[in-house]
Amino acid sequence: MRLTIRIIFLLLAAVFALQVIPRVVERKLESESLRNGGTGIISSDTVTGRSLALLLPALSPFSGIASAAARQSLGWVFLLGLPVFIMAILKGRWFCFHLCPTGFIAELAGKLRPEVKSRFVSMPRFNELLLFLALGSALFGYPLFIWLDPLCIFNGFFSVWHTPVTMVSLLPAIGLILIVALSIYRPNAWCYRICPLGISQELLGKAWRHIHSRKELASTQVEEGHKPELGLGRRLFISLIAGGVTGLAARNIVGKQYSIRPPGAIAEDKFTAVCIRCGNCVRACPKKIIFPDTGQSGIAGILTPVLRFDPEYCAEWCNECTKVCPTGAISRISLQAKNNIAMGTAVVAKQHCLAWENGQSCMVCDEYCPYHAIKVIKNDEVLCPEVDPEICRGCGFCQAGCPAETKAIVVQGKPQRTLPHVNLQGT
Amino acid sequence: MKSIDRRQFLKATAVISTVATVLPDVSNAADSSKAVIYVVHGRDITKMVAAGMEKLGGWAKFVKKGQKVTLKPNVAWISKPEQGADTDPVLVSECVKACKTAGASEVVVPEKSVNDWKQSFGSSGVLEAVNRAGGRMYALTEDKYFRKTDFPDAKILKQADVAIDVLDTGCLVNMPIAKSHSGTTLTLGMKNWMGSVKDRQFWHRNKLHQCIADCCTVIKPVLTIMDATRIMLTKGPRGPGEMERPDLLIFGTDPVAVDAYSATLFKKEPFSIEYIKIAHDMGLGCGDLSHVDVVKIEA
Repeated sequence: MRLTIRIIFLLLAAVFALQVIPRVVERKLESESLRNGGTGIISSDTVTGRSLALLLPALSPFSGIASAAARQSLGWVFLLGLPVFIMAILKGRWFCFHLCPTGFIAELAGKLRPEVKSRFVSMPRFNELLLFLALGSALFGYPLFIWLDPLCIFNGFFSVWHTPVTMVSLLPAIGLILIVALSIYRPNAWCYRICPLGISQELLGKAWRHIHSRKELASTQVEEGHKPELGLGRRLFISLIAGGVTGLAARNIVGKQYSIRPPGAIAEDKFTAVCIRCGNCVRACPKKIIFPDTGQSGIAGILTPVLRFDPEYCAEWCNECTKVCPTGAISRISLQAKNNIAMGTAVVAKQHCLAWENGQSCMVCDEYCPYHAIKVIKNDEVLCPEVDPEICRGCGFCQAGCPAETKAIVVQGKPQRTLPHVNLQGT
Repeated sequence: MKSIDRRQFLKATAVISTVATVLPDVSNAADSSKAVIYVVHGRDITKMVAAGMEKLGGWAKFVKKGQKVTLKPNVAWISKPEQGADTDPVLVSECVKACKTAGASEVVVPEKSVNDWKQSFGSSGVLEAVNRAGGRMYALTEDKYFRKTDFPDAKILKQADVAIDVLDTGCLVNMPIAKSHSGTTLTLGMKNWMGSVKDRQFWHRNKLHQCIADCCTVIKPVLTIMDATRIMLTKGPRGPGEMERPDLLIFGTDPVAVDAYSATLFKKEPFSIEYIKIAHDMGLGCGDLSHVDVVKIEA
C-alpha cells in the first residue's frame, strides 16, 4: 500500500514538474478551436493551469518558511506548505515515508546494495546544521541552502529536457544524481543526515511531543546517541547566529553583481538565495530564453534563472514565468505590470553597429522594439540608433534581431525597476 | 490631287478629337510600354476589390484554372487591423474567395512574421479570414519551406532561400500594406518580399535597398494590390503610430509603379525612397510617375 502511494506520488510529481497538464489543456483547446472553424491559436491569457507547476516545490514548509522570512512577506503559495507542516507536528516524518519522491528514489538506490546496513549513523548530523543555518540566514534576507530542499531538487531535475542535451544542460540534474550516488554509497544518509526538509519534520514532531512530555524527548535523544551536554537549544542558538552572520555577509557579496533575471525577480541580493532552482520558470518560458545559469553570475548564482536573448526575446504577450515560482523569487504579476518592468537596459556598441560604423540603413532595433525605446540619431545622413534607458525594458528583441556580425545592441543587467506604461496596441 | 472638302475635314476632326478625349485609356493601354495603375477609393473593401479587378480584366486573366495561387500579405506584426501594421483581413479574404471562384486549385498564404507568428496571425485576424475564405495560411518557420535560389541579375543578393510557394505557383499576388518604416523610410510592395525569404539579416548587412531591388529580379508578382485603406505615418513598421485614412487600394501589374504612387500618399518623392530608384534604374518597373497612367476609380 505504502509502495503504491509512493509510486503514484512520484509519477504525479513528475507530471507536475514537466508541466504536462497545461500542455495537454492547451493542445485540447487548440484542436477544439480548429474543429469549430477557429484559428487553433489560443490567447496567452487563457487559463490553462500553468501555475500548477509550483504545487510540488511549494509543498515543502522548509523552503516556504525560509523564503517567506527572507522576503518578509506571505502569499497564498506559502499556505501550500501547511499540510506537510501539520502532518510533521502530528506524525514526524510522515511525508518522508509516504510521499517524498526524492526520498523514494534515494531509498530505491540504497537497496541496490542490501549488504550495507545504515552506515549513515557514523556521519555527523549535517541536516540540523543546514536547517538552522538556513533559518538564521533567512532572518537576514539571505536563506542559505534552501535549494537543498528535496522537492526542488526533484523538480529541477526535469529542466534537463528543456534544451538540447549538452554537458552544461545536464547541470540541473546533478542534485538528484548526487543523491542517488550518495545513497548507493551510504543508504539513508541523504534522508537522515543531510535533507533539511526531513530534519525539520523530525524536529517539529519532537517539539510537539516535547510540549506534552519532556521525558519522551530525553529518551529519544539518548536512543539516537546524542551527547546530552550540547542540547538542541544551544545547537540551535549557535547555528542561528552563524547562519545570520554568513547570510548577511553573502548577501553583501553577491548583491553587487547584476544578471538579467526573469521579470518580477526580487532584488539581486536576495534572489540567489530565495530562488530554489526548481527550474519551473526555465520550463514555463515559451520563448525558451530562460536558462539555468552555469556560473556566469558567480558561484552563488549557479542554476538560478538567467535570460539569454539570442535568438529569442522576452515577449510582450507573455508572463508565464511569473506564474510558476514557488518561493516568490519571481513575483506573481499581471502582464501589464510585467511589461512595465525593466529587466535590464540595451546598450548600443557603436563599433559593431551597421549604421554607426558602416553607414548602412538598418535600424532593425528600432523596427523591432515593442516599446519604441530607440531614439533615431542622424549621423552623416545615416539614421543611427540610441537607446532611451527611461523606456527600454531590456526585453532583448533588439539584440535578438540585430543583423550585425557581432551583436551591436546588447542588454545589460541592472537592478529591476518599473517604468512608465507604454501603450502597445494603440487606441 | 484631290483635296478634302470642308465637310470631310470637320468629320475627320470630330472623329479624331472624340477618340483623343473620350478614350484616353484605350490609346494608353495600347501603348504596352507604359505602366497603368488603378487607384480605387472607397470604404467597402469588397466593392473596391471588385472595381479594381474589373478594370484589370478580371481575376480570370491572372488566375489559371486548376493552378495554385500564392498571396503574400504583410502579417509580420502583433497588431490589430486598426493599427495598420498588417494587411487588412477583409482584403485578404476577398482575394482568397475571388481566386477560388476564378478556379484556383488552392490558395496559399505563406508568411514569415517578425513577431511570434501565432500571435501575429491571430491578432491581425488574417489567419481567421484566410481559413474562412477557404485558403491555407502558414508560417515559414521551417527550412523545408525554402529553396536556395540564384538571382543572376542581382547586384548584391546573388543567392537566397526563397519560399517554395512563392517560386512555384501559377499566380503570385503581392498584398502589402503601406506604412512608415524606421529603416527604409517607407515599407511598400517590394520590401514585402522580405517576409518570403529565410535570411533577412543578410539584407541589412549588405545595402538593404539594393537587396530589396535585387529580390524583385526573381520574385515577380503578376499583380500587386497595395492596402492603403489606413496608413501608418509614424513609428512604423510596427506602431502604434499616427494614422491616416486615405481609403485607397492600389492595383497594378508593375510593382515599382505601385510603390512609387504609394510613396506620394506619405508626401514623399518616389525616388527619395532608395529602393524605388534602384528598381527603376535596374529596369524592374517604372518608378517615374510622369510615365505611369494613374487611373482613379470611385467604388
